[in-house]
Amino acid sequence: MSPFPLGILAASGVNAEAGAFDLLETATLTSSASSVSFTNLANYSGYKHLQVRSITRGSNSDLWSAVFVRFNSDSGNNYADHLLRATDTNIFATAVTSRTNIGYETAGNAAVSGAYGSSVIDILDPFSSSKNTNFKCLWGRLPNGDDTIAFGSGVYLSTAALSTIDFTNTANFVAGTRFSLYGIKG
Amino acid sequence: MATPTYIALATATLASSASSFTFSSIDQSYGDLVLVANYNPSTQGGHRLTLNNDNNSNYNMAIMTGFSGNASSVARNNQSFFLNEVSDAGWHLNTYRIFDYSATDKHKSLLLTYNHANERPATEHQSGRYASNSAVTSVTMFLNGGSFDPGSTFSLYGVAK
Repeated sequence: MSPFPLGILAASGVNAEAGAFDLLETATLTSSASSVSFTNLANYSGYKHLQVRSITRGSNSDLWSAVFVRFNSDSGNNYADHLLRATDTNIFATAVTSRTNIGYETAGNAAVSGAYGSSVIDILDPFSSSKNTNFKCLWGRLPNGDDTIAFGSGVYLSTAALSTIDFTNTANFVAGTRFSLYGIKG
Repeated sequence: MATPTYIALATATLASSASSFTFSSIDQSYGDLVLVANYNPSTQGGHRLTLNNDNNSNYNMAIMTGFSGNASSVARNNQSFFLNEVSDAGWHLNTYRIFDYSATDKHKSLLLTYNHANERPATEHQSGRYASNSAVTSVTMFLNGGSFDPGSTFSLYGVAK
């Protein structure tokens, strides 16, 4: 059976041209690192949307670890997000405004060996110069306790086109961590 | 250099009812797998998913559900399959994302989005961990009783990394 390119819209039953969903860059860590960055986004301005798929684990000695995201190296209070999350014991929603980054969670190094957290982040219209940049994220972590699934959305309060995305961790990302960047044509 | 991806590896539409559906001999050259299943069950009870025909207690999941006006959560560990919590009559749309499925140094992380829409619509998000470092070479879906009706569709995609 020969594979054939369809694009993400075809996956949901909408016709799309071949190559509508492209892998742009991947960073796979062979040793621990404090951050992972995509710095060539200007090269991808022909795409309408971006997606980052990741599988990560932090080096901190807890079951879970935080991942922080910044756009354009902007450390100002220009981010806001909302989160609906569920654990083994409860389900609740949170909102944070005027924050200096976007946060989500992954497995920490106290997690059972081999456990990583996963996420899919969709960044909408990141190259517009007239809109704030919106994103949504689905992430989960099952470190073997305090297991969590969450769905969030948020905004980067800037109309600047995105040029960089930086991912940092509570401590370091361990080897085997991977971030892959995709472009979606519009 | 941009690489076109989200490649359809295989797809099937059931011509007759079936108690299970399996994708086997999965191409190992991609980063992630995406399984999209749109099925109508002959009886209610939810569906199951196993990897590599493994029926041991290796499946762990955290589940968030909105159903009939209520939100709930639960974690299920050491199960013999991934399972979903809600079910009803009518068509069910499932999207499974399996990360680094060909890796042999990690447990397999999974994210599920599940919806069904009839007189009692429901949605469910799930994160899962298959506690095995083995590469995933087959994926099997089946129901908690009953069978998939004709017209049910199963599609498997590969996402490059």
